[in-house]
Amino acid sequence: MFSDFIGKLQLYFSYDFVWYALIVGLLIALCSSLLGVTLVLKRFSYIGDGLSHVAFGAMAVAGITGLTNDMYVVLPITVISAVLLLRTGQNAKINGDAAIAMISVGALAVGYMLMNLFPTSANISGDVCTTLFGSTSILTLKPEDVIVCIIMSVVVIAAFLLFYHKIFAVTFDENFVKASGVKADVYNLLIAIITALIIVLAMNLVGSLLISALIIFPALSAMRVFRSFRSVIVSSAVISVLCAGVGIFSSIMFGTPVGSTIVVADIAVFFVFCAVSLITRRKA
Amino acid sequence: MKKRTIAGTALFLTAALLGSCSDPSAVRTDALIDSIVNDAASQAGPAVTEPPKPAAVTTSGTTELTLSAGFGDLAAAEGSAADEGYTDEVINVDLTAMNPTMIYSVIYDIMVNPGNYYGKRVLLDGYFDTSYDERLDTRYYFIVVPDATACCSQGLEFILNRETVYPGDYPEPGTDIRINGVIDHYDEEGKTYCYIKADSLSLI
Repeated sequence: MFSDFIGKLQLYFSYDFVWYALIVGLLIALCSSLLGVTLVLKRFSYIGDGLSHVAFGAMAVAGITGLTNDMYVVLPITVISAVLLLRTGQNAKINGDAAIAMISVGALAVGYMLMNLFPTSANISGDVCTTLFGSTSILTLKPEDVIVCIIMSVVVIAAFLLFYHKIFAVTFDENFVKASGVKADVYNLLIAIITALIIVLAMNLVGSLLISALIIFPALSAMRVFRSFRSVIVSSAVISVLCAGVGIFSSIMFGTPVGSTIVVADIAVFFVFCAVSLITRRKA
Repeated sequence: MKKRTIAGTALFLTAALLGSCSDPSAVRTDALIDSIVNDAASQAGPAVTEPPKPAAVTTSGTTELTLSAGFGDLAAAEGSAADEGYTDEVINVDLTAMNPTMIYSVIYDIMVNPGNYYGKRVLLDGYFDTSYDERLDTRYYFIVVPDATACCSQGLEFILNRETVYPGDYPEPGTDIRINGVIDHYDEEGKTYCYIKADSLSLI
């Protein structure tokens, strides 16, 4: 029994695409967790979901235009939407959550309608299924996809470390930051662009319906136990990477869907941290 | 200010890189492949169009055949089964022992990187389907493997390693079958196609 398991493990990990999935999955998990803390604290937990639906709609548009590389359409539209959503959060006319909900369901509906009206594929249900739930696309990556993901991750992590203090300040008290002469809008713009980039990348991993889980669960789990911004960031990154690793490993070994397995691992860790939080509070 | 400029430049370059290098096929391979399938369907035969992508079949439900198609410049890839000297008895890629996620992924890998599999013996389960190209007066046979949710399917062409007559020597389309054979390739109208040189076709 155990030797069978080991044999299977060795067999599966002899394929390059399994390693590609693991590398990309862990990097995306790391990047999304770094940003997740900021987004949760800024009350933008649902922006990942909204933007992923925008990306879904943009993919449908790209499909109609017949572009061989739909990133030319998907990336700019998602970045613009991210900027608009984060800026609209400060606009009194349409509240942040309402704007996200509006764009989210709107883009999803328009995207699905376009895919049906102008089908570019014989398999619309397959396209939708893959885009929404990630399907097995993380296990079909090519070396160039992995390189792009590594470069992207390095840029995101570098930007986060470089502007750590500014992001910290903007996250907790934007008005104070503005009053002290720092251009908070610029850092909000930076956060919006990075968010959009991560979401477009993460659609490969978990699909557009489950992206929010990657962003919010590790952050919320970490916040149950840790208190300082730095410790929450670090523990969130560790939780996210571990859950992604366990999720990808489990789905490869047991044939479960990759995206939902990662999210289930995140949910399990969240409940564990809730329990730890309860116990430590009682003791205190 | 300097930091901001560096970050802005880095992000712009990344976005440009992502746009130019990233291949969306990881997310939506079917867009390209299905265009092949659609062409094939309209010609009542297998796809013989340009893309260097393999002939995979992406179908909805069980009615549409996801066929394999052009393999681009694969002629110069590794040699055929005979060149590799594989023993007939050894199964190099046993897809019957894998879970649905891995089966789907391995078949995709065979289609994208067929050169890595030439000469390897595979054993796989799926359902039988066939198509006929009137222009070339040729019938093609496929084993189609759905993914875990059965919303997407991939298919590989096979050619039985003996004289056969259709329909007499073949099951009904949609019948579950097991194929044991060696991955090989052939040229047709200037294109190279990957297929399974099947030693056996059995019902399961």
